[in-house]
Amino acid sequence: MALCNVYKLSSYLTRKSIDLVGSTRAIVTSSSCLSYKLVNPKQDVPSLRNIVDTNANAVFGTELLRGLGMVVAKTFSEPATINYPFEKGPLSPRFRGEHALRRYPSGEERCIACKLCEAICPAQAITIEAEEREDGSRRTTRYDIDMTKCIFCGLCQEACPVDAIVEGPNFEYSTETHEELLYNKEKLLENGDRWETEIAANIEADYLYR
Amino acid sequence: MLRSALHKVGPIVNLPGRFSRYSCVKICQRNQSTDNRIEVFVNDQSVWVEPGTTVLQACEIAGIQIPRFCYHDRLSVAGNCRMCLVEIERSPKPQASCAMPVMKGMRIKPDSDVSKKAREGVMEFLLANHPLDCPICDQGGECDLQDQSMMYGSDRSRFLEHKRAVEDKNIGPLVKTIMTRCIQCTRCVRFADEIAGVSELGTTGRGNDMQIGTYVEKMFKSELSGNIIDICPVGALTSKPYAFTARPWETRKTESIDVMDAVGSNIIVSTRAGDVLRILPRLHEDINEEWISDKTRFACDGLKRQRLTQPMMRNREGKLAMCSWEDALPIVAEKMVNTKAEEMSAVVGGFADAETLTCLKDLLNRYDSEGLCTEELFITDGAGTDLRSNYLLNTSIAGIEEADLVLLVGTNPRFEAPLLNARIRKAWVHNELDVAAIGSKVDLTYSYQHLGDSTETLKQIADGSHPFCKRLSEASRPMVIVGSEVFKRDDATGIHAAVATIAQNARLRSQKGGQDDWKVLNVLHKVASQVAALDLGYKPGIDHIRKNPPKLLILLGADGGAVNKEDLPKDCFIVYIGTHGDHSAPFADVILPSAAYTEKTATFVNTEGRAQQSQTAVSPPGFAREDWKIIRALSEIMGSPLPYDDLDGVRARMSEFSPNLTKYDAVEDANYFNQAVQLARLAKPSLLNQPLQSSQLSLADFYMTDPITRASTTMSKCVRAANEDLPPDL
Amino acid sequence: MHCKILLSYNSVNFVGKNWSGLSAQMFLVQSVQHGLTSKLARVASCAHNQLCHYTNLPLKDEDRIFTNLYGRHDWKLKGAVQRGDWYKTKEIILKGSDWILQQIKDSGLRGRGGAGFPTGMKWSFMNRPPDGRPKYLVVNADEGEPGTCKDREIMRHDPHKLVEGCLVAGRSMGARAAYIYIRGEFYNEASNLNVAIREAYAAGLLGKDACGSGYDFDVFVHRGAGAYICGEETSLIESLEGKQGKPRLKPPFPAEVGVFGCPTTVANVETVAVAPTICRRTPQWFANFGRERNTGTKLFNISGHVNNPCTVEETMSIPMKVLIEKHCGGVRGGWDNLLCVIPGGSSTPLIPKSVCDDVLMDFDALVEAQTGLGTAALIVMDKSTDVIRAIARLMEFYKHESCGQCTPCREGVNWMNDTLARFTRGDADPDEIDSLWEISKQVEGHTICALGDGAAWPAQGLIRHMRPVLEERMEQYQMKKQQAL
Repeated sequence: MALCNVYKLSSYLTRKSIDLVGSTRAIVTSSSCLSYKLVNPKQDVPSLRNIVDTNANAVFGTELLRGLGMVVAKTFSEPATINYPFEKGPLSPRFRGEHALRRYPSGEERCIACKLCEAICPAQAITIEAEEREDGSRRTTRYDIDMTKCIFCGLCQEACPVDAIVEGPNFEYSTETHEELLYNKEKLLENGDRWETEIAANIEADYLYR
Repeated sequence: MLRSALHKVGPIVNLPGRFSRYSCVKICQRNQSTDNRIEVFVNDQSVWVEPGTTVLQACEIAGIQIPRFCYHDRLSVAGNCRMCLVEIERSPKPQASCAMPVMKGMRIKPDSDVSKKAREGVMEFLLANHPLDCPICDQGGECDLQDQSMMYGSDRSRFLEHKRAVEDKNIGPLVKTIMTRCIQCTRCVRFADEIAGVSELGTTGRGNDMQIGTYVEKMFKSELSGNIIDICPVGALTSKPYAFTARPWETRKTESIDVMDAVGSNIIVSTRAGDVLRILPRLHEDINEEWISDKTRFACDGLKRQRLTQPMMRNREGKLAMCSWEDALPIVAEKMVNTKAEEMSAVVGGFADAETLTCLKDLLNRYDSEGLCTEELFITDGAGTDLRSNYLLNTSIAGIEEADLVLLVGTNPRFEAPLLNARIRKAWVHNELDVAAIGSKVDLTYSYQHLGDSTETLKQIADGSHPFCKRLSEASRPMVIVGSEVFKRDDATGIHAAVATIAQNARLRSQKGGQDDWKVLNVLHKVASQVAALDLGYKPGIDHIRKNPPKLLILLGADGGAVNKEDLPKDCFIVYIGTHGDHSAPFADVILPSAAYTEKTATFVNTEGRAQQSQTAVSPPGFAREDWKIIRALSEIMGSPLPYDDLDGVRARMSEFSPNLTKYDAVEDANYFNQAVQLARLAKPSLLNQPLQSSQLSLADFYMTDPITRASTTMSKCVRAANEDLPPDL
Repeated sequence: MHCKILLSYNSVNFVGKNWSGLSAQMFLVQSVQHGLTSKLARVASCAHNQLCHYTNLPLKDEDRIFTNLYGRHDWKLKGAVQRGDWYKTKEIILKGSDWILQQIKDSGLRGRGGAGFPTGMKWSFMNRPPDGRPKYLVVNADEGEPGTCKDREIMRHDPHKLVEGCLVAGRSMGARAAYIYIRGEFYNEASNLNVAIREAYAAGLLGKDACGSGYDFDVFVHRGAGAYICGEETSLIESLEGKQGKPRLKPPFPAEVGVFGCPTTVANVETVAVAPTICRRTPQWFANFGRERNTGTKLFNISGHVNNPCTVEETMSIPMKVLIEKHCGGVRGGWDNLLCVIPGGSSTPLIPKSVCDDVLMDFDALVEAQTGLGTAALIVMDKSTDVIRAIARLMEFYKHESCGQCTPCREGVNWMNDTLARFTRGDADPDEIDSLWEISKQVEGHTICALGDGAAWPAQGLIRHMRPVLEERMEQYQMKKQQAL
């Protein structure tokens, strides 16, 4: 209880002291511009009462106590940071991460080489070549994304009529060389296979808004 | 009249002058006076049109495009898609504007609510059973249905029933069918019936079960079959070799000229990343209208196979080995400098352009050599190639529509020049053109009087004793077309003289009839280079090198088989400049790789004598270079560089030889028929008893005739399909 | 003027009411109270001084044109001559084309094939200056309209009427020959017709110098292969030429470019068959029957839920109720058991009992009732009928018979058929009724030939008059479905 009070007091004082610090910025060169509108709260004119308070704070070391209180409080509160490689924050279903090419549950690749993603890509990061597969279906023989060109705008997945190319939830794909970021079809399909569960869940979560 | 009435179910439409480019009945229109135009109102805007104009055309003149699927300028009116419905004042229901002739004072309301509603209704019906598989459809991006559904379609469907599905038909290796997409506009059926003259497509079934097809599965056997891909407004008929290859928005389009035959069809070369993907027709009313032959369209895959990409030389073992230009050119130059002028010769093949021919001629002339020959033959006696009128298609291709009688001598135009044949057929259908032929009895897609294949007939017609002469004398605008194949014969001069006599007699008669500038004599060449070569003074045929066995022979794409290793002296040094490792490259000592017609900006002169330019669509593969540049480089290494180093320079030199070569898209009159006949008689021509035969008799003979088509897999599939009763794949 | 007719005629209906003092306005107010305005207006505008003509008097036997409709007499030449056929045909022919045309025009005869175009005018289109092409008469004997069986009776039992009609009609338009395109299924009829034509040739009535008039005329019979669409005049011409029976675009009309590229008139069997009798018995006699613009006698075919289905010749403009009660022994279960009637062959929209009560059987009256006389083939349905299924069956017929040439018919009729099939079960949303209405409107008037219209109208009639039935069916289906769950 007492601790709490101290904390309150100290925070109050801190605010005041900050105000004071602010008020010391007296030499402002731009003040001559009268058209500027002051948006900060009006600062108190240093009065006798202020001066006394400030000195009292200094004498009794309230700032120290307040800082101590903060430390103690934070020690017991939940930390704001996460332990990144081992812990990850939540992601929106619309998160646009690493690209992936999906498959149908039958294992058939979804992409039909319509080339709409290639057409819409503002960074021209996608290159597709297509051919008739033996069974007569339209498939890509080459599906390349230059991840270093990509601006992750997500237009490719919006253009895709069959939900084949998607930007998945993965954002951890840093590489050592540029070449490794030139994705080809195998890599993209592999991504799709690896992330299918998450991607499917994201699409499911977002289907009303698509 | 009856013939056209049977062919055209709808009204025969005479189009107004402004749209003569699109006119299908050009001749009728020429005879019309322009005074009797009538006024109609399109959206209250007054328009004056010829009587007989359709509502759709009247709207087009007023600047309003009416949506349509089944209507096509060059086909008869079917009026079955109902997309072009427009409201016409005082008409109880909207009318199909493509079939409705205008009437005086008619008030057409193409933008009214009724018109719009009607089109939206039709669009909804069309889309009801359309698969909407645009993402996998090759027509996507250039589809009429797609475009018009953006305008008149709804964004959602009310159609809750089952969609129709139609079995795909296999109609050969060129046209892929996805019949579920078909909207039954019957454009393809009408094209086959009316233009290709092959009534193999038709409709079966009724109502919703109506299908387009060949009834029994068979190949759509036409040399113009690819055009049904272009006229199909949806993705039902697409190109099989081009299947799934590219989208229209990612290709670059270059306007160019075709060299597969001597017609010089105007084409668009679609390329992407240095690859020729497909070839499409380009409108040229006087040559190919908007059609091209299958060879023109589908042989482009031959440009990627068996190409020469690097200079080659015989090594010590006598085998051809890759080398660099720096190795090859000095050796050729050294040989040339050390060879005597009379022992130096050059033979040019069918794909040589005028610029290269000019450089080669300059180069050899510089060393006092006159050994410049073309592979294709022509006559050298009489007027020979001195008079231009002797070797041109003087009447011009479009002129066929004005003719009333055509006599074909020793030619099968259907396969030698499919578009010329299509033009003859067009005139035969619409203008009562009569056709007669001396030569092989082949199917020309129209009926003609076959006068046999003996030279005796020719002689009789020439001296006026044949019954056919009566018809010839009755004709006011006759044409005689002689195929270049007859010049391979030993009695070529005799045949040419006989033909020239027939033509001269007919011309004089037609002049009496008031047709002052009507020309009768026509030579139909088979290869694209021949007219330019003759214009530049090349000797037709390789008689020269037979008589003067050369020590050094330059073969400029001469793959026609006229020159063989056995015919040449053992010590002859052969330089082959060309694109494909075809007939002649294997026995050459040095091979210099050059550019094909899609890879260079060059001039080609068609059989009419019309100079046209091809444009660089892609760069030559590997180390191949443009032909004229090779020769220019050679001259420099030889120590006496030719006096030009850019295209403009070559062309300036070219027009010094023959000014018509740089007058692009112009046909210059050639008019020395009297002199030609007199000179021909001086040569004392004789005729052999051997029958006049064409080498291309059936469709299978059509496809593979030159290095490019021989390298093309598509063409070889076509040959196989044409030989078999059933198409090979699928 | 209009009001006067109203009042005078309807005085009959309001006997017993003291309304003589009422003004016309008052009367109208009263009739509104009776909910009768529309009905009255309809009847009133139909009213004519000939009205009494049909109300009580039946068509007298001596006024019948088709005297052997039921095959009780000899159908061959001998019997036909006894019944008055081929009487003074030579004189008719010799009077020439203009005279015959004038007779037909004066008679007010309208085409009996369905559209009701004035025959005299149509035939006169052929009398243009000759251009060297021969002219032809084509007789449309491809009677395929469901419910219609009038031409069949003529060809089976009275073929000489038709053959003579061909000659007279052919003469009126200067035709060189007549082609009778007969439906393939009509084997006996084609056979009888051929016999009749042979007899006529043998007797010198046809061929060179027909009837001794100096006019050369031939008649050919061509049997169809059983396609309904070939009853449409241009597709009939196509079929006759040996092509697929698909309608041609008009213009050019057959009178300009018809069969084999020559001027042609296509006429219905009945139209052609009555022509000689009109010429013989004067057009005034013919015009005496029926109302103005709807004159003459007509063969009516009544089928469906009547006690005695029959084909009968009656005067035009006979009230439907009279026709059914008099000749067919009434509706099964009495007039009140009537649900609706399709008045003119399957292509016309049905009309419910309330309209049937006092509608007249002629072109104009039925058009006012938002339907049509068509071929005058009444399909009577009593209350036991599943009217949705009936119309769905008709739609299936049209779907099967659509030629597939033009888009709205090919796609739309199939669509309507599928939708109606679901409606029959009730498996649909009530909104879809409006959607079906719109689809039928998108078909109607947008096709090359009238088959699209003919397919759209039955659906429109169903929606117009039977909407509650449709909605009820859907409701029931939904209830059943929920019960099943």
